[in-house]
Amino acid sequence: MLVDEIRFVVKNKLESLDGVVALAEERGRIMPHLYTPGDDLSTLTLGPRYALALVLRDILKRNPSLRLGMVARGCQERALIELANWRQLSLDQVVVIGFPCSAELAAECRCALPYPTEVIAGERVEGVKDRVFEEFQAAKSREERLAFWQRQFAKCIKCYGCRTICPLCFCDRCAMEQETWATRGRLPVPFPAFHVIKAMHTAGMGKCVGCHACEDACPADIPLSLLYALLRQDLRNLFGYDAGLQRAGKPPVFKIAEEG
Amino acid sequence: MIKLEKLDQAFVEEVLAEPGGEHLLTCWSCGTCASTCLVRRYDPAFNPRLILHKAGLGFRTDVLSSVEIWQCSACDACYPRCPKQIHISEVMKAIRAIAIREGYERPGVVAQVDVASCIACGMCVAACPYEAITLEMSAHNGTSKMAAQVNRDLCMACGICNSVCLSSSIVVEGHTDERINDDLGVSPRLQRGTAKDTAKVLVITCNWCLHAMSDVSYAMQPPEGVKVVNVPCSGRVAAVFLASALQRGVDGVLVVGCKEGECHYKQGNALERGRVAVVQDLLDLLGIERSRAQFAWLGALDRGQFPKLVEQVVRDVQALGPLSWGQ
Repeated sequence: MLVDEIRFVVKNKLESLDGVVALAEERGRIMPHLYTPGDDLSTLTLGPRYALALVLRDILKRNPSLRLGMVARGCQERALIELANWRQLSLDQVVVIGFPCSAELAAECRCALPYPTEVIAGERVEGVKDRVFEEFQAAKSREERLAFWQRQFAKCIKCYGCRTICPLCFCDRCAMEQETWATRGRLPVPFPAFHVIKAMHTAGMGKCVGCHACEDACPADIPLSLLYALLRQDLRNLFGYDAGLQRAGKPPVFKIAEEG
Repeated sequence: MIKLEKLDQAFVEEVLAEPGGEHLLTCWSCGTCASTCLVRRYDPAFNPRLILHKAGLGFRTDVLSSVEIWQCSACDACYPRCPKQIHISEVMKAIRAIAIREGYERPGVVAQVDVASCIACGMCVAACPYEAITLEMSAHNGTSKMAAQVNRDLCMACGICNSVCLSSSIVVEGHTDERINDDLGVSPRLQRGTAKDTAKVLVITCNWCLHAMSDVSYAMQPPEGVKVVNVPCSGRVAAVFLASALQRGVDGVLVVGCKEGECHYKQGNALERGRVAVVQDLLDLLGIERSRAQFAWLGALDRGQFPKLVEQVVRDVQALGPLSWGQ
């Protein structure tokens, strides 16, 4: 099985690394875990899709001398690369133990690249040609789009789950919590400024890697990854930037500042 | 009256020897720089010709202690117009370098970093037109962490750094998010003074693109339904300001920046053009007409065109009708 192959690789890697970040299943619960040399790896699971990259960054930030591995899907490797592009970690300290996603998951995520650059075990499946932009725009008139998103965002209970889970939301102080943009205790959140902040600070600045973690975390089932997928496509068209695809890549702000 | 004892030939030599100061003495004092200078619109006392003249005569203390040497932001509007092709901003830079060496300090506000919340992502470093920001180990809570650091002598307080900072950890006093946001949206005056079916348009303009007096007086007394807000640079206008204005009752927002290549802060306008393009597309996805957020250039040769520009946008927005949120 794929997970056995990964456990075998992790065991080997732990001989030269300080630890490996992966998902662990204990008593029916799946959560991020830092495996250290000598640990029992039978709990290691590939699990559902999950944003592990920020967990790794947080550990490295507190322990800058460590060298860690991470069991990663394609999107989480891209998240690591993008975190490095935003100077939040150094890729020299990270070893990616990559595995591909299943065809079903790739279809569900509308993922164009459902595997990391190097696959340790398992078979790569074909990426999905993302036509969500064209389809969404063609299916709905402007008035319908407005009604759709207003209905969706009216469900927001301001739990900040989307922000907290996002592997690229690395700020210590979040703009979405500033009194200027969000009045404490007020629901529903006025449309659209609050949600524009989230969209612009992630997908709108070229950070979103399309991992769907925000949507998985949202208790109100707001289709955030749809909006961000649309915006990612837009950034690709405007600035030729794809989050996490290029090591030592320069986010759009750099590009504009340098080229005018 | 010129007091001869104040003249210091050594100062002239010093400026000439400083990189950028080589052309100090080629000035004819024709005053073309002064007539082009954007700073003069806000401070009529500022005169690049006089500073060059005084420096050329050797008024060391007068020149080094003046506010003027810090006011030039190197927009270089004067440079292509100087008949002697003196790169005046470079001469100013040379004089400033001497002032810094002699212990003079830039007056006024500069960008401030909140070390506690800065995550050292380096966006402000990339966006700063003056290379005034670097990432340094900074003292924090008894230990040290990497954070942005502002060089007081280079910062021009344009606020572009703030506009790209995700956590607003770098701010310029007087142009904070709160302060600018207070000015957006529909003020009681705009609400009261506007007929029901008149489009309400917010114009956010940079401090420098209104060259003509007629533009300035128009901005101060705009027609019904129009509100004009000043920011130091169009590049200061973060995406959320546009969304916030629309949310708070205006039907359209226009950001006016200097023309390509003429930005007073070098590249703020390019940054803003890119940002508004993303915001327009985001609005379109959300079902809000993209022309409710617009960006426009206003070049040095477009003096007096500001009212025309605004009226065109008012017509665009009027044609769309009021921004209705449906539910």
